[in-house]
Amino acid sequence: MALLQAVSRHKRLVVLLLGLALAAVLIIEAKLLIDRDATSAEAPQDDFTQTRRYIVPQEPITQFPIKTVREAWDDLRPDELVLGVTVGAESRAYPLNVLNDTPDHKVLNDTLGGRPIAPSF
Amino acid sequence: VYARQLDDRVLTLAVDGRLWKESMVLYDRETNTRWSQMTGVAQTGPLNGKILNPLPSVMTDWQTWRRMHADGSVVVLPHKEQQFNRAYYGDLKGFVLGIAREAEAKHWSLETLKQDPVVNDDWDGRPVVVLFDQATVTARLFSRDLDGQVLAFRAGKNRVLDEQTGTTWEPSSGKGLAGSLAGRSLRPIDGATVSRSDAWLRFHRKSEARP
Repeated sequence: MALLQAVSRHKRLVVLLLGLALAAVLIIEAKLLIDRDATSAEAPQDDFTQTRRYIVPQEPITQFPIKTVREAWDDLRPDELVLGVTVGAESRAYPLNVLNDTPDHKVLNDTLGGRPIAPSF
Repeated sequence: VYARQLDDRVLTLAVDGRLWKESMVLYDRETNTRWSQMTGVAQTGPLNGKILNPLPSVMTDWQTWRRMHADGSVVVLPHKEQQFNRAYYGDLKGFVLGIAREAEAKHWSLETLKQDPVVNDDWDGRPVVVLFDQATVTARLFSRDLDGQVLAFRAGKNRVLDEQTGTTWEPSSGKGLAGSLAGRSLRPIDGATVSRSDAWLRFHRKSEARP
Protein backbone atom coordinates (compact mmCIF):
# COMPACT_ATOMS: atom_id res chain seq x y z
CA MET A 1 0.00 0.00 0.00
CA ALA A 2 2.79 2.35 1.06
CA LEU A 3 4.71 1.32 -2.05
CA LEU A 4 1.76 2.09 -4.33
CA GLN A 5 1.38 5.45 -2.65
CA ALA A 6 5.09 6.18 -3.15
CA VAL A 7 4.81 5.10 -6.80
CA SER A 8 1.83 7.34 -7.46
CA ARG A 9 3.49 10.21 -5.64
CA HIS A 10 6.69 9.93 -7.72
CA LYS A 11 5.05 8.80 -10.97
CA ARG A 12 7.30 10.80 -13.24
CA LEU A 13 10.48 9.60 -11.53
CA VAL A 14 9.36 5.95 -11.77
CA VAL A 15 8.54 6.29 -15.48
CA LEU A 16 11.92 7.92 -16.07
CA LEU A 17 13.77 5.14 -14.20
CA LEU A 18 11.88 2.39 -16.06
CA GLY A 19 12.66 4.15 -19.33
CA LEU A 20 16.36 4.32 -18.51
CA ALA A 21 16.43 0.65 -17.51
CA LEU A 22 14.74 -0.34 -20.76
CA ALA A 23 17.19 1.77 -22.79
CA ALA A 24 20.15 0.15 -20.99
CA VAL A 25 18.82 -3.36 -21.70
CA LEU A 26 18.30 -2.51 -25.38
CA ILE A 27 21.81 -1.07 -25.73
CA ILE A 28 23.42 -4.12 -24.09
CA GLU A 29 21.35 -6.47 -26.22
CA ALA A 30 22.28 -4.62 -29.43
CA LYS A 31 25.97 -4.70 -28.45
CA LEU A 32 25.79 -8.45 -27.86
CA LEU A 33 24.16 -8.95 -31.25
CA ILE A 34 26.84 -6.90 -32.98
CA ASP A 35 29.63 -8.79 -31.17
CA ARG A 36 28.06 -12.11 -32.02
CA ASP A 37 27.86 -11.09 -35.66
CA ALA A 38 31.50 -10.00 -35.69
CA THR A 39 32.71 -13.26 -34.15
CA SER A 40 30.50 -15.42 -36.32
CA ALA A 41 32.05 -13.76 -39.37
CA GLU A 42 35.58 -14.53 -38.19
CA ALA A 43 35.76 -17.35 -35.70
CA PRO A 44 34.54 -20.41 -37.62
CA GLN A 45 37.05 -19.87 -40.41
CA ASP A 46 39.96 -19.01 -38.13
CA ASP A 47 39.26 -21.99 -35.90
CA PHE A 48 41.71 -24.76 -36.75
CA THR A 49 39.05 -27.42 -36.17
CA GLN A 50 37.41 -26.07 -39.34
CA THR A 51 39.46 -28.01 -41.84
CA ARG A 52 38.37 -30.19 -44.72
CA ARG A 53 40.10 -33.25 -46.09
CA TYR A 54 40.98 -33.34 -49.78
CA ILE A 55 43.62 -36.08 -50.00
CA VAL A 56 44.98 -38.75 -47.66
CA PRO A 57 47.98 -37.79 -45.49
CA GLN A 58 51.25 -38.08 -47.42
CA GLU A 59 54.54 -39.57 -46.28
CA PRO A 60 57.44 -37.09 -46.06
CA ILE A 61 59.45 -36.75 -49.28
CA THR A 62 63.18 -36.73 -48.62
CA GLN A 63 64.56 -38.20 -51.87
CA PHE A 64 64.05 -36.64 -55.29
CA PRO A 65 66.10 -36.17 -58.45
CA ILE A 66 68.07 -32.95 -58.84
CA LYS A 67 69.65 -31.83 -62.10
CA THR A 68 71.92 -28.93 -62.89
CA VAL A 69 70.24 -26.04 -64.69
CA ARG A 70 72.41 -26.77 -67.74
CA GLU A 71 71.33 -30.44 -67.85
CA ALA A 72 67.67 -29.50 -67.43
CA TRP A 73 67.83 -26.43 -69.72
CA ASP A 74 65.25 -27.78 -72.17
CA ASP A 75 63.37 -30.11 -69.80
CA LEU A 76 61.03 -27.33 -68.74
CA ARG A 77 59.03 -25.01 -70.94
CA PRO A 78 60.50 -21.50 -71.05
CA ASP A 79 57.34 -19.92 -69.62
CA GLU A 80 56.82 -22.56 -66.92
CA LEU A 81 56.73 -21.05 -63.42
CA VAL A 82 59.29 -21.98 -60.80
CA LEU A 83 59.86 -21.14 -57.17
CA GLY A 84 63.50 -20.06 -57.03
CA VAL A 85 65.47 -20.15 -53.79
CA THR A 86 68.99 -18.98 -53.02
CA VAL A 87 70.77 -19.79 -49.76
CA GLY A 88 74.34 -18.57 -49.56
CA ALA A 89 76.07 -19.53 -52.79
CA GLU A 90 73.58 -22.24 -53.78
CA SER A 91 70.39 -21.76 -55.71
CA ARG A 92 67.68 -24.20 -56.75
CA ALA A 93 64.47 -24.00 -58.73
CA TYR A 94 61.32 -25.91 -57.80
CA PRO A 95 58.85 -26.07 -60.69
CA LEU A 96 55.35 -25.16 -59.48
CA ASN A 97 53.94 -27.98 -61.61
CA VAL A 98 55.99 -30.39 -59.46
CA LEU A 99 55.01 -28.87 -56.10
CA ASN A 100 51.35 -28.55 -57.04
CA ASP A 101 50.06 -31.25 -59.38
CA THR A 102 46.45 -30.73 -58.25
CA PRO A 103 45.10 -32.54 -56.34
CA ASP A 104 48.55 -33.88 -55.47
CA HIS A 105 50.62 -31.43 -53.41
CA LYS A 106 54.21 -31.84 -52.33
CA VAL A 107 56.41 -30.34 -49.69
CA LEU A 108 60.04 -31.31 -50.29
CA ASN A 109 62.55 -31.83 -47.50
CA ASP A 110 65.64 -30.36 -49.06
CA THR A 111 68.96 -28.89 -47.96
CA LEU A 112 70.36 -25.84 -49.71
CA GLY A 113 73.52 -23.96 -48.84
CA GLY A 114 73.78 -26.21 -45.77
CA ARG A 115 70.35 -25.16 -44.55
CA PRO A 116 67.36 -27.56 -44.23
CA ILE A 117 64.52 -26.04 -46.22
CA ALA A 118 60.95 -26.97 -47.18
CA PRO A 119 59.61 -25.60 -50.47
CA SER A 120 55.92 -26.06 -51.24
CA PHE A 121 53.25 -24.32 -53.22
CA VAL B 1 59.63 -21.83 -48.75
CA TYR B 2 60.56 -22.18 -45.08
CA ALA B 3 63.64 -23.07 -43.09
CA ARG B 4 62.64 -26.40 -41.51
CA GLN B 5 64.85 -25.95 -38.52
CA LEU B 6 63.60 -24.70 -35.16
CA ASP B 7 66.33 -24.04 -32.62
CA ASP B 8 68.41 -27.25 -32.78
CA ARG B 9 65.72 -29.45 -34.21
CA VAL B 10 65.45 -30.24 -37.93
CA LEU B 11 61.88 -31.04 -38.94
CA THR B 12 60.74 -33.37 -41.72
CA LEU B 13 57.59 -31.92 -43.21
CA ALA B 14 54.80 -33.61 -45.14
CA VAL B 15 51.36 -32.91 -46.55
CA ASP B 16 48.61 -33.54 -44.00
CA GLY B 17 45.94 -33.76 -46.71
CA ARG B 18 43.54 -31.32 -45.12
CA LEU B 19 42.87 -27.75 -46.12
CA TRP B 20 42.51 -24.94 -43.63
CA LYS B 21 41.10 -21.72 -45.03
CA GLU B 22 41.48 -23.39 -48.43
CA SER B 23 45.24 -23.72 -47.96
CA MET B 24 47.39 -26.77 -47.20
CA VAL B 25 48.04 -28.11 -43.75
CA LEU B 26 51.48 -29.64 -43.18
CA TYR B 27 52.72 -31.89 -40.38
CA ASP B 28 56.19 -32.75 -39.15
CA ARG B 29 57.25 -36.35 -38.57
CA GLU B 30 59.22 -35.49 -35.42
CA THR B 31 56.46 -33.94 -33.29
CA ASN B 32 53.24 -34.38 -35.31
CA THR B 33 52.57 -30.65 -35.03
CA ARG B 34 50.19 -29.22 -37.66
CA TRP B 35 51.45 -26.20 -39.63
CA SER B 36 49.75 -23.77 -41.97
CA GLN B 37 51.54 -23.78 -45.30
CA MET B 38 50.41 -20.22 -45.99
CA THR B 39 51.82 -18.65 -42.82
CA GLY B 40 54.33 -21.18 -41.44
CA VAL B 41 52.61 -20.94 -38.05
CA ALA B 42 51.97 -24.11 -36.00
CA GLN B 43 48.24 -24.42 -35.33
CA THR B 44 48.08 -27.45 -33.06
CA GLY B 45 50.47 -29.96 -31.51
CA PRO B 46 53.61 -29.83 -29.33
CA LEU B 47 55.09 -26.88 -31.27
CA ASN B 48 51.79 -24.93 -31.30
CA GLY B 49 52.43 -21.23 -31.86
CA LYS B 50 55.97 -21.69 -33.22
CA ILE B 51 56.77 -20.11 -36.56
CA LEU B 52 58.86 -21.52 -39.41
CA ASN B 53 61.16 -18.82 -40.79
CA PRO B 54 60.44 -17.91 -44.40
CA LEU B 55 63.38 -17.73 -46.81
CA PRO B 56 63.80 -15.28 -49.66
CA SER B 57 62.35 -16.78 -52.80
CA VAL B 58 61.13 -15.67 -56.17
CA MET B 59 58.34 -16.86 -58.40
CA THR B 60 59.39 -16.41 -61.99
CA ASP B 61 59.50 -18.34 -65.23
CA TRP B 62 62.09 -20.96 -66.15
CA GLN B 63 63.51 -18.81 -68.92
CA THR B 64 64.32 -16.02 -66.45
CA TRP B 65 65.58 -18.30 -63.70
CA ARG B 66 67.90 -20.42 -65.86
CA ARG B 67 69.50 -17.27 -67.22
CA MET B 68 70.02 -15.77 -63.73
CA HIS B 69 71.20 -19.03 -62.15
CA ALA B 70 72.84 -21.02 -64.92
CA ASP B 71 75.16 -22.61 -62.33
CA GLY B 72 72.29 -23.63 -60.08
CA SER B 73 70.14 -26.74 -59.90
CA VAL B 74 66.52 -27.74 -60.36
CA VAL B 75 64.26 -30.47 -59.00
CA VAL B 76 62.88 -32.57 -61.84
CA LEU B 77 59.94 -34.83 -61.07
CA PRO B 78 57.21 -36.14 -63.35
CA HIS B 79 53.81 -34.49 -63.08
CA LYS B 80 50.46 -34.98 -64.78
CA GLU B 81 49.30 -31.41 -65.14
CA GLN B 82 50.88 -28.40 -66.80
CA GLN B 83 48.89 -25.64 -65.12
CA PHE B 84 51.53 -23.19 -63.94
CA ASN B 85 52.97 -21.07 -66.68
CA ARG B 86 52.81 -17.34 -67.32
CA ALA B 87 49.20 -17.67 -68.52
CA TYR B 88 48.27 -18.74 -64.96
CA TYR B 89 48.26 -15.06 -63.96
CA GLY B 90 45.74 -14.07 -66.65
CA ASP B 91 45.35 -10.30 -66.66
CA LEU B 92 47.07 -10.12 -63.21
CA LYS B 93 43.79 -9.18 -61.54
CA GLY B 94 43.47 -11.14 -58.35
CA PHE B 95 47.18 -11.56 -57.60
CA VAL B 96 49.24 -9.73 -55.01
CA LEU B 97 52.78 -9.55 -53.72
CA GLY B 98 52.43 -9.83 -49.95
CA ILE B 99 54.60 -9.65 -46.87
CA ALA B 100 53.53 -10.50 -43.33
CA ARG B 101 55.06 -10.73 -39.90
CA GLU B 102 52.98 -11.61 -36.87
CA ALA B 103 49.91 -9.32 -37.01
CA GLU B 104 51.39 -6.93 -39.58
CA ALA B 105 50.86 -7.40 -43.31
CA LYS B 106 51.05 -5.40 -46.51
CA HIS B 107 50.29 -6.25 -50.10
CA TRP B 108 50.70 -4.73 -53.55
CA SER B 109 48.33 -5.70 -56.34
CA LEU B 110 50.06 -6.99 -59.48
CA GLU B 111 47.48 -5.19 -61.56
CA THR B 112 48.58 -1.86 -60.04
CA LEU B 113 52.25 -2.81 -60.40
CA LYS B 114 51.60 -3.28 -64.12
CA GLN B 115 50.93 0.48 -64.32
CA ASP B 116 53.59 1.51 -61.82
CA PRO B 117 56.27 -1.20 -61.61
CA VAL B 118 58.54 0.57 -59.09
CA VAL B 119 57.18 1.37 -55.61
CA ASN B 120 59.38 2.88 -52.91
CA ASP B 121 57.83 1.86 -49.61
CA ASP B 122 58.70 0.74 -46.12
CA TRP B 123 58.22 -2.49 -44.25
CA ASP B 124 58.83 -3.19 -40.59
CA GLY B 125 60.23 0.34 -40.20
CA ARG B 126 62.80 -0.16 -42.96
CA PRO B 127 62.98 1.20 -46.51
CA VAL B 128 61.99 -1.33 -49.19
CA VAL B 129 61.20 -1.27 -52.89
CA VAL B 130 58.82 -3.36 -54.95
CA LEU B 131 60.14 -4.10 -58.43
CA PHE B 132 57.86 -5.68 -61.01
CA ASP B 133 58.85 -7.15 -64.34
CA GLN B 134 55.69 -7.46 -66.36
CA ALA B 135 57.13 -9.48 -69.24
CA THR B 136 57.94 -12.40 -66.92
CA VAL B 137 55.39 -11.59 -64.16
CA THR B 138 58.09 -11.37 -61.53
CA ALA B 139 57.31 -9.25 -58.46
CA ARG B 140 59.96 -8.82 -55.80
CA LEU B 141 60.52 -6.95 -52.56
CA PHE B 142 64.04 -5.70 -51.85
CA SER B 143 65.69 -3.61 -49.16
CA ARG B 144 66.53 -0.06 -50.31
CA ASP B 145 69.36 0.01 -47.83
CA LEU B 146 72.67 -0.86 -49.49
CA ASP B 147 75.48 -0.72 -46.91
CA GLY B 148 73.82 2.14 -45.04
CA GLN B 149 72.99 4.15 -48.14
CA VAL B 150 69.24 4.41 -48.62
CA LEU B 151 68.33 4.41 -52.30
CA ALA B 152 65.14 5.65 -53.96
CA PHE B 153 64.15 4.00 -57.22
CA ARG B 154 62.22 5.13 -60.25
CA ALA B 155 61.12 3.60 -63.53
CA GLY B 156 62.90 4.88 -66.61
CA LYS B 157 62.16 3.78 -70.14
CA ASN B 158 62.30 -0.03 -69.93
CA ARG B 159 64.62 0.12 -66.94
CA VAL B 160 64.84 0.82 -63.24
CA LEU B 161 67.21 3.46 -61.88
CA ASP B 162 68.11 4.78 -58.46
CA GLU B 163 68.02 8.54 -57.90
CA GLN B 164 71.26 8.66 -55.89
CA THR B 165 73.73 7.08 -58.32
CA GLY B 166 71.77 6.60 -61.57
CA THR B 167 72.68 2.91 -61.56
CA THR B 168 70.27 0.75 -63.57
CA TRP B 169 68.91 -2.35 -61.87
CA GLU B 170 67.42 -5.65 -63.05
CA PRO B 171 63.98 -5.96 -61.40
CA SER B 172 63.77 -9.78 -61.34
CA SER B 173 67.15 -10.26 -59.64
CA GLY B 174 67.83 -6.92 -57.92
CA LYS B 175 71.26 -6.79 -59.57
CA GLY B 176 73.01 -3.56 -60.53
CA LEU B 177 73.50 -3.66 -64.32
CA ALA B 178 75.27 -0.42 -65.23
CA GLY B 179 76.54 2.54 -63.24
CA SER B 180 78.60 2.95 -60.09
CA LEU B 181 76.70 0.17 -58.27
CA ALA B 182 76.92 -2.31 -61.18
CA GLY B 183 77.54 -5.82 -59.90
CA ARG B 184 76.01 -5.09 -56.51
CA SER B 185 72.78 -6.81 -55.43
CA LEU B 186 69.80 -5.56 -53.47
CA ARG B 187 68.91 -7.79 -50.54
CA PRO B 188 65.56 -9.62 -51.04
CA ILE B 189 63.15 -9.46 -48.10
CA ASP B 190 62.44 -12.86 -46.53
CA GLY B 191 58.90 -14.12 -46.94
CA ALA B 192 57.68 -11.75 -49.67
CA THR B 193 55.46 -13.92 -51.80
CA VAL B 194 53.08 -13.74 -54.75
CA SER B 195 49.67 -15.29 -54.13
CA ARG B 196 46.04 -15.02 -55.08
CA SER B 197 44.58 -11.99 -53.34
CA ASP B 198 41.60 -13.90 -51.92
CA ALA B 199 43.95 -16.44 -50.31
CA TRP B 200 46.20 -13.65 -49.02
CA LEU B 201 43.27 -11.81 -47.43
CA ARG B 202 41.87 -14.98 -45.84
CA PHE B 203 45.06 -15.23 -43.81
CA HIS B 204 45.85 -11.53 -43.46
CA ARG B 205 42.45 -9.91 -43.15
CA LYS B 206 43.91 -6.59 -42.00
CA SER B 207 46.66 -6.49 -44.61
CA GLU B 208 47.32 -2.95 -45.77
CA ALA B 209 46.66 -2.53 -49.50
CA ARG B 210 49.43 -0.43 -51.02
CA PRO B 211 49.19 1.49 -54.25
